[in-house]
Amino acid sequence: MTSLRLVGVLTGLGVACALILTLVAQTTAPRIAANHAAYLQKAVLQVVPGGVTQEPLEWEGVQAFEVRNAGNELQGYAVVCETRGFQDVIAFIYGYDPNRESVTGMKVLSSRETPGLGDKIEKDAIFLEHVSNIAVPVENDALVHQVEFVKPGQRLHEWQVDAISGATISSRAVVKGLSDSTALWVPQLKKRRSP
Amino acid sequence: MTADTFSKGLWRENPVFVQVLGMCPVLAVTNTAINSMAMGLATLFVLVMSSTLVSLLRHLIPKQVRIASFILIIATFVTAVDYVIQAISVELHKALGAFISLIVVNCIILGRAEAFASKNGVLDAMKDALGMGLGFTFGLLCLGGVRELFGSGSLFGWHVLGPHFEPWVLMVLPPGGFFTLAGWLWLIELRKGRAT
Repeated sequence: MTSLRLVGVLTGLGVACALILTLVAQTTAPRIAANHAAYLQKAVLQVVPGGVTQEPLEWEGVQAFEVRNAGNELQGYAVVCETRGFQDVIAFIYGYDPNRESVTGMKVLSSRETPGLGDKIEKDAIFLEHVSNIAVPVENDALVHQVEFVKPGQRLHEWQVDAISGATISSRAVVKGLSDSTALWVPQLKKRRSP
Repeated sequence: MTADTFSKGLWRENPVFVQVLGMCPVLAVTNTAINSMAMGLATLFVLVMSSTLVSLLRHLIPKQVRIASFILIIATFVTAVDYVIQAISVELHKALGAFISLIVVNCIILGRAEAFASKNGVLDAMKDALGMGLGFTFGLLCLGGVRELFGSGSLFGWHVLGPHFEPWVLMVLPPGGFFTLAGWLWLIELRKGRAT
């Protein structure tokens, strides 16, 4: 009888808590979706410096944006990318400038990396500087060099990114995501720019 | 119970400066006053709601499963706060990051549920939780204000130390949290006449 009461109390509490959470989740869902959309729009213009307006590209398999400057000329593209981090999936967006043939910036959209360690991918000045200036030249519809991950302080070429000491797994995850995504999408974006 | 139930958490038994509890968020998210305020208010909300519910259900919850039940109640309110903060601002949610979820295991909340709310009436539990929550928010603001002031030259985002102020970057980094907490504890002990 006592055991039944224990199970009953815990089950009842669990059901009540689930109901409360369902109510809160449903009430806040539209507002959260709107906030995330606004945050994404802001991030698009941050990763493509000089961009003023943006237009989503109707491409299958990727969320990408065409960004134009104040003179309505093409300034670059922004591509959303997801990669497996240390804790969970890291979602980020990067900018691509087809004129400079370069990645122009990266911003993390969502991440659950360890505070103080893995979250350095959002704060480390050297890492952010490297990922804001990665050469991705295209020849014969393919990247000349894939984006590479190297040990801290060993960057020799503009297609390489230094690891972050203390956040090796998270920084490697971002660079791998960048490498895979740029290899797939940059040649197509380049072709779109100069058909 | 008297007004002391409410006021003891504000100063005499302040969770940050006297009980020295919940140090994880105290040191981690107090790099700006806004973050401190948001974390303090989120904890205050969870503390008041969970203490109220624990007190209401204290005769129904068998003692064998009380801790599991308290954690369930606290986790529910923390998840609700997580949704609400996301609905308010994505930037704020990103800034507070994993520490919102970690409110579940903040020892102040479970401590008040076990030590006070489960043994007292609803009104007293609410008063105790409100006092402790405000005391915790006050503690966080004391750290966040000093760290933002010297680390960024601003307070609540407003630049107050002028354009020529060179920020002490260390203050917004993790060591700055330890230094500021140590400074406040020293000042408080000095006031009590126990420090040299």
